[in-house]
Amino acid sequence: MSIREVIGKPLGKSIMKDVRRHQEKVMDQVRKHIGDIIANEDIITGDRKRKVRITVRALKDYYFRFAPPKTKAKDGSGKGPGSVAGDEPGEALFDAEFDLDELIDIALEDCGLPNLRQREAFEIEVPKGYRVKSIEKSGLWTLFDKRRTARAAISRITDFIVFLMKETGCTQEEAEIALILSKGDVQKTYQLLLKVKRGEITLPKKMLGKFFLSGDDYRFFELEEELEKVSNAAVYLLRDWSGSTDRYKYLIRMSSSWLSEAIRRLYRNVRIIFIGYENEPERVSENDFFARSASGGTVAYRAYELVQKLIKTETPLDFWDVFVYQFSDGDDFQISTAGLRMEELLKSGVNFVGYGEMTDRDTKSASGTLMTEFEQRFSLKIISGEGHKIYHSKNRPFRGMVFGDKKHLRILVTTFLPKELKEEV
Amino acid sequence: MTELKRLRKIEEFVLERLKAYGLNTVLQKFDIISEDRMLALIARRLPNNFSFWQTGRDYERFRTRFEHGFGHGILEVVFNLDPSRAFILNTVPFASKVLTVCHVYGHNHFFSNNAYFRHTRRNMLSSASAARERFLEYEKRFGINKVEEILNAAKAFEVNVDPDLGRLPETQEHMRKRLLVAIVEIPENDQTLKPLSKKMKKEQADLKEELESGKLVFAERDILLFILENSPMIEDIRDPAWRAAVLDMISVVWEQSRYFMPQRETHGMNEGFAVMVHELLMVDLLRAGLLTDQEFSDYADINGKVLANSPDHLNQYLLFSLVWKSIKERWNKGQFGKEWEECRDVWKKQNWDTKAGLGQEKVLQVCQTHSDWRFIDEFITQEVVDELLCFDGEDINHVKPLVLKMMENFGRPLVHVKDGNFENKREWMLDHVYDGRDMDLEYLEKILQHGYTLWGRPVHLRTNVGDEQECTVFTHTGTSLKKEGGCKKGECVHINKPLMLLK
Repeated sequence: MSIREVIGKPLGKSIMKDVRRHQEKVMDQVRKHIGDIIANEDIITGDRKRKVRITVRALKDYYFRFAPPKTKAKDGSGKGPGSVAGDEPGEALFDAEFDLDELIDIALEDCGLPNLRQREAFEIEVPKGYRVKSIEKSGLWTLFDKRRTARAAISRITDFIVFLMKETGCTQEEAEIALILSKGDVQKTYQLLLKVKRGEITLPKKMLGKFFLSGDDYRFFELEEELEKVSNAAVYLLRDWSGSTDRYKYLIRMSSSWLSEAIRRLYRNVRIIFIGYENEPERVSENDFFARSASGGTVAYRAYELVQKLIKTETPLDFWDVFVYQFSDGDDFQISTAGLRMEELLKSGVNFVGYGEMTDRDTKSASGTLMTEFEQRFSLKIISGEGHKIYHSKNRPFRGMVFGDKKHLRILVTTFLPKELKEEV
Repeated sequence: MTELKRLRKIEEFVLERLKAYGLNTVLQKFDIISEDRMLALIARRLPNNFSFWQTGRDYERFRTRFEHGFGHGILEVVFNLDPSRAFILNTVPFASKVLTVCHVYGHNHFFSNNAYFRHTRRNMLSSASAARERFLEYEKRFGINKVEEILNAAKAFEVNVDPDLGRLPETQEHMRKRLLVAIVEIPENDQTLKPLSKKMKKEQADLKEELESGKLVFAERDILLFILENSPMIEDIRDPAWRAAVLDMISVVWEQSRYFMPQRETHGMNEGFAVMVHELLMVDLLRAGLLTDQEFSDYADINGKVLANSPDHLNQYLLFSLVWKSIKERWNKGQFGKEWEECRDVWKKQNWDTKAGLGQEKVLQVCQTHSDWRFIDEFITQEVVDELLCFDGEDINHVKPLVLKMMENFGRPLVHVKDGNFENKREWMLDHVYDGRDMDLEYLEKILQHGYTLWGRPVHLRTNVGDEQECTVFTHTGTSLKKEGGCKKGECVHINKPLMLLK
């Protein structure tokens, strides 16, 4: 029989270790399902700085259990055994909050522009993290440097003690105790020691004290962003905005905006050139690229010709790494010419060409599209996934993808932004 | 007077009253703690228990629930130890703390008197914290992922230990020895004795070989123990340190599960009894002037929430406390025995009162001997069923089997180990004792994968799916789950020998 209060004792580290471990596991789950998460339109189009709430299904522990009743029978109504409620917990869900930036970073893990070449003229800067630039006496508390602060304080206090010993002729222990008693104030310590010397007061023999920090002791890290310079890169984004792509408008917009966002996050100073095309290709601003749509027929090869022209005049391949991404529904009036021009484009020495084709899975427009033309011409290898197909080329820097749903966006990003371009089997 | 002082005074009074009611308790210690520690305690299940990610998950889940104010909050945690330890939340109102003190003494009596708790270890705390230290060491040495894999798998079979704690379990070895006695060998040259028939000779020889070679395994309910003793995965580990670690981790899970087994088996009774005790004591406290009217009404509010009678949920606290009360009343009024059972006069039965006054005595006796299942089986009455809203006044003969089925094997499917050497390949055969309810197949796949982790060879489970007449065998080969249908009931080829179910 005893009742006592044990309050204010800190929570052991152990439970926090388990909590962290659980969070890690949740993060792994988020990583696994990032494709579904980024398929939400508001993630990419919304405000970047806000937090996103995602409902995470709690990680289960498994055991032998009965199948849950399929329809919720009224409890105790006796429709069959197992209809008594209350013996199995329901599926546990909890809300987890993530920074949007964090999610996008997760989505873009292992992504990059392939085939970058070392050139003489450097312009692109790739963020490589942070490094310590210098140690300052003021700064952010998050960057507080404990070790250097302590070292500064120790050296200052040692100086004080040496000074006091010299001035008053006391021993080191006395000086230390006096310093503790006067809470680090030199003036007071000096007076105190004088009094001791005169015999007015006596100091306690032993005393444990604190460490006194003065304003001069504080040290903070000053950080600097570390940048690595890589060669120039230009990205040509081609969008088919003919009448037939109307039903894929949303999907095209999503995928091209994801791609441009991804490139901008991965590299600074990369130049993105937006081209929309129907009968005639047109170089447009970013806003126009996403907002506009037209109603003509489609001729893709002219767009390739425009790209070739722009490469020659604006981003010559001797100095630039050039990437071309195209989104289309695959309908084209001059398919064979388009294939020919594409071959020329690939031969001219661009780093990478990614071609995304939207299909409606119901209609299955399997033949007569750009993709089938490319497949035959470049003898591509097909890898089928869940509702999407990825086309790999053996000897050309080309990748194609046929897809029809926003859940394939994540695969699209990883397919079109591979760090290294190697053939997957 | 501070709260703490008042609480101590109340405890003294409570102890006096307990003696008067005939309850004998062991020394009880209370700690009043903050909510953080309380939530951590509940998540960990034992103070300073070993570190595991599920603990972190449960902590966050409890915290979310706590912060959103679901239910009536968590009032107390009590551990079956000697001396018994209980924890009270510091943020609850005073009435609730008093309630907790009374409630905990109810549990205390139950723990120290019920037969199912006789063999539980009462020094679990030191064993748990020692396990914690060791497990942290394993994490450092072998990596957290490897440790977690084993713990995850062992935890999956946590409930599959033998709950029959009244006696010590018979080991496989012992069973073998016991059966070997039954094998007779008659010397061939002895003419005075009648020789065995050919058939019998062969049967006996086969049995003997199987028993001696250790191939024959008896149906075993204690899956974790079976793994500890027979798993080829553990035998195959080459690193002795890792083998010892694996054995240690599984056996700690097994030990803790066995420690909590009596709690699982008597949970409803235990809570119902504690509710009855605190209801008695709180009224006594009010009468003695130790509680104010305001505090008593606070208590009544909390108690009402604990014993909420809901039409869509069977409240176990309510069910069991009603049965306890009905026992007390019936034995007080002499409503038992041959005369009472045979009486068909409804009017007479309603006013039956022989002034027997045996209520408290009967309650204490039942407290010692029963488990949840036996308790409901023996004492549930039509009156209790009528009071529960979720049964809608149905007939007892209909409700009772339902409730009993719910409690059978803690509401989990009963799974036995049938064979540790299936088809002579040391594969593992489990058998689900089918009772008309299907298993959850999603969970089944995962748990068989865990089984594969622990066994290291393909794992089979025989069960029935839906209304199919034939048995179905699920096989997990480590990478995938195969389903294979097969044999008619009663002629199953998957269990090639009729095995003895000795337990």
